[in-house]
Amino acid sequence: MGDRVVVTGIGVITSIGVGKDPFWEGCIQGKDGITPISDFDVSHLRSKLGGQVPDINFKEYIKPVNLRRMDRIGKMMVSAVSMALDDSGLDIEREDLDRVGIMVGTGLGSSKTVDLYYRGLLEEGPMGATPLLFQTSVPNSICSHSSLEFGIRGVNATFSHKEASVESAILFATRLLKRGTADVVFVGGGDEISEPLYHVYSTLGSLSPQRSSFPEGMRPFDAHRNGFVLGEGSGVLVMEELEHARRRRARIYGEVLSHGLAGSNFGVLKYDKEGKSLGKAMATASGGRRVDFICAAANATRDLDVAETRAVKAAFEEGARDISISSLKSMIGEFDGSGGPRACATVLAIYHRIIPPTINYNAPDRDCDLDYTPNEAREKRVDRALLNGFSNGGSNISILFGKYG
Amino acid sequence: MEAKRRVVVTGLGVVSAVGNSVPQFWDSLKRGKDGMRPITLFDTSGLRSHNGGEVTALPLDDHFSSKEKRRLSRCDQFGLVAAREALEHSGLNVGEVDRERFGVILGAGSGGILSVERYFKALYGGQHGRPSPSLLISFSLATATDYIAERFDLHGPRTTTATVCSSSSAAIAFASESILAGWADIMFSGGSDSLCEVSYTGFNSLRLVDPEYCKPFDKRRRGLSLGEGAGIVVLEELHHAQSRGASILGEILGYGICADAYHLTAPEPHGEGIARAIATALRNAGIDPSDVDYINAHGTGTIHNDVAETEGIKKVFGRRAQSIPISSIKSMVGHCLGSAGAIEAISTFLTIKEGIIPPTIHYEVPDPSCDLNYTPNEAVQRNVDIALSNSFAFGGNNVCLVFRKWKRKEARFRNGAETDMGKA
Repeated sequence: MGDRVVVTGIGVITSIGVGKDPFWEGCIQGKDGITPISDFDVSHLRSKLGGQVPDINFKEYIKPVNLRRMDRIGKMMVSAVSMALDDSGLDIEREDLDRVGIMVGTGLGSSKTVDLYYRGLLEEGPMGATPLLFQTSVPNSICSHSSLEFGIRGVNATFSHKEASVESAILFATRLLKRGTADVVFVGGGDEISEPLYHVYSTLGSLSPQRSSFPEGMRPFDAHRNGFVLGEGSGVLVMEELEHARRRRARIYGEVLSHGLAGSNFGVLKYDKEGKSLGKAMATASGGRRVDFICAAANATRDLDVAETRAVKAAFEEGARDISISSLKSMIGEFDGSGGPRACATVLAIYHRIIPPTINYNAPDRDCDLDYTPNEAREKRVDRALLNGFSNGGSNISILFGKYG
Repeated sequence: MEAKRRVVVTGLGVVSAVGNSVPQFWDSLKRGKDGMRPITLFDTSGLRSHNGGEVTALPLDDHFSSKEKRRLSRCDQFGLVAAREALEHSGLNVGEVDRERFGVILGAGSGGILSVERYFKALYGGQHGRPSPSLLISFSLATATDYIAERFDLHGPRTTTATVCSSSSAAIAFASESILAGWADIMFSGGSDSLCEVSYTGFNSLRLVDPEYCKPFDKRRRGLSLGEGAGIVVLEELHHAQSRGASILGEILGYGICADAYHLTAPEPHGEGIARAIATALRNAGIDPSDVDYINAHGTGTIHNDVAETEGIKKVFGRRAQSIPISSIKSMVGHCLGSAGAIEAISTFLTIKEGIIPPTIHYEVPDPSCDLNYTPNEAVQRNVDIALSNSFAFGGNNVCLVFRKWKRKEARFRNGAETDMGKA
């Protein structure tokens, strides 16, 4: 049992890149992954854009026998696990698989399958209920597919707490690795764009609409932001107990140092606008240490971006202006499981000493006046970086990653 | 050296088909009351089954204003009612405790899908007028958790687990872990879930539902019966509970979580994964298999689960397995999915506290492949010091919780002594 947890593998799928290297290339180029929704009809809705993942040849990552049982988000999740495993160099056949775990965060998981299943019911009644669709519709199916594909038999959990889902998984995976419950845990998650989910967010007024004073788009921290664009993707870290990683001479991307937690209560779909609880989460996570980069939760809603800005100031006071902040969501869109890809970017920023930009940043907002790394990536030594998962309704989790060594 | 943190239970709250308060619920379980009745929430015609453990006789109008009822899903409402009871039961005054160190971790199953179904049925069904967007507020699985935190203005750790059939047991495991880790002193945990068409028709389509009523471990069993409800527990760090003079209902000694890695829905038939979950839980709790006095089974009443669970128990306990009383309260409350583990945990705590083991009802014909002691049809009086509660989910996700009776004398004796808890 050790008390240090490191990251040794990365796998990621987003609209700006499939696989660690293309994804990171997209991040530092500030690639815009937002495109018009092509999968279903949005003509009756106020929003038309999404951060859609392109078609992928999943055969490269998944055994054919398992592939046919998976839905699209299942494939995206298992592929990210597969990439992370490859990247880690871990010889999983030689591991004690009872001590290898998987912990996943997702909003709804297989929301397209839920939709297909429910439409079958509405159209044909009970005869339209398809068992194969139902068994995949449960939120933990993306985790189960991953466990089945690689024979992962250790700790197994799925968290669904809106924008703090993956951060919840990272939190408990770190704790269990430190306690010695497992040697290796695949941690991550994701979500997919589906017609009903898009409809729900649009109806509840969360999405950036086409007809307003400003164009539809994803503009975190910008004065003209008017809601988010829905995105999708998956991201997985291989998290490992340090001695286990050292014994097999693994490449170490970074270390999980600590975390901060704070609940806030301003209502479902609402954020802590004053940023007090977010600030507390970040202050606890950083514990007075200098932080060089913050992978922001900011999602281009009026409230969250201001709240996070105020929170950074509250947590770091005078030092707030020296911190490079960026919202990856500007490139990939917002989704509950975005913590997966964002965790990958946080660790890559430490490893490569580059801060990815917040793109689409043009009009400064008086209430958002920190350094958001506008539009251009920046080379900078990153000793410590925060990953923020701040959910509407109020679970606020901040994870501190650090350079290893 | 700092004394080891320990997690105790100080409050219980429940909503179920056999009772909407802990005393009612416990009275029904002791009497072996069958909570199955014809489903009224939606049309079941054309389906294999028509019964379920639907919650009735809960005057939701007394608990919520009409404005609240528009926003809150049935699942949110159950959770809030049970949380209020658990808090009252614990004797905690939220105004007097540090709410920064009071969190909520619940398990979810279908969550607010019942409301979302109503919205999309109206929308796709071409009904006139637009369905109310407020039906969509609870589309996230996390809303019951958030509403409970909001109601009592709690600022501690907060998340939601989503492995469905084992969600609320996993939630109790992670809430305990949050207290052990020192992130919180008090946690609401457990889960809430409501019946909905997606899960009801889904289990029907998989032919996992008994057309009559569920008969766990009986040779005639043909599947589960679905139920609904909420089970909320108040978990507290031992010294926190002791210093306020709380009445302690029992201790959470440990847990085991693992995966079969065998099949997307079916359990590994020889109970290998189930045995690993139980063995991990015992190791985590620092106890020997011979210490276990009772097992509250997952016992869904499906052909495969009950055999696999029986096999798993035999693998861990060997010949002693025959002498450990086991029972499945799903025979009375149904399989409540996202709240099943929590409702069963509450039953298990009551067993430990009262020394009464609730029965597995509808048990008539023994099955040679399920040959353990399932406490058939009649409750049994028996002192229980250590009990297990099993929960298994799709994907072979297995959770086993270990609970222990609270004894003051022993507590003094053990105080400060190193237990195995931290060693996992």
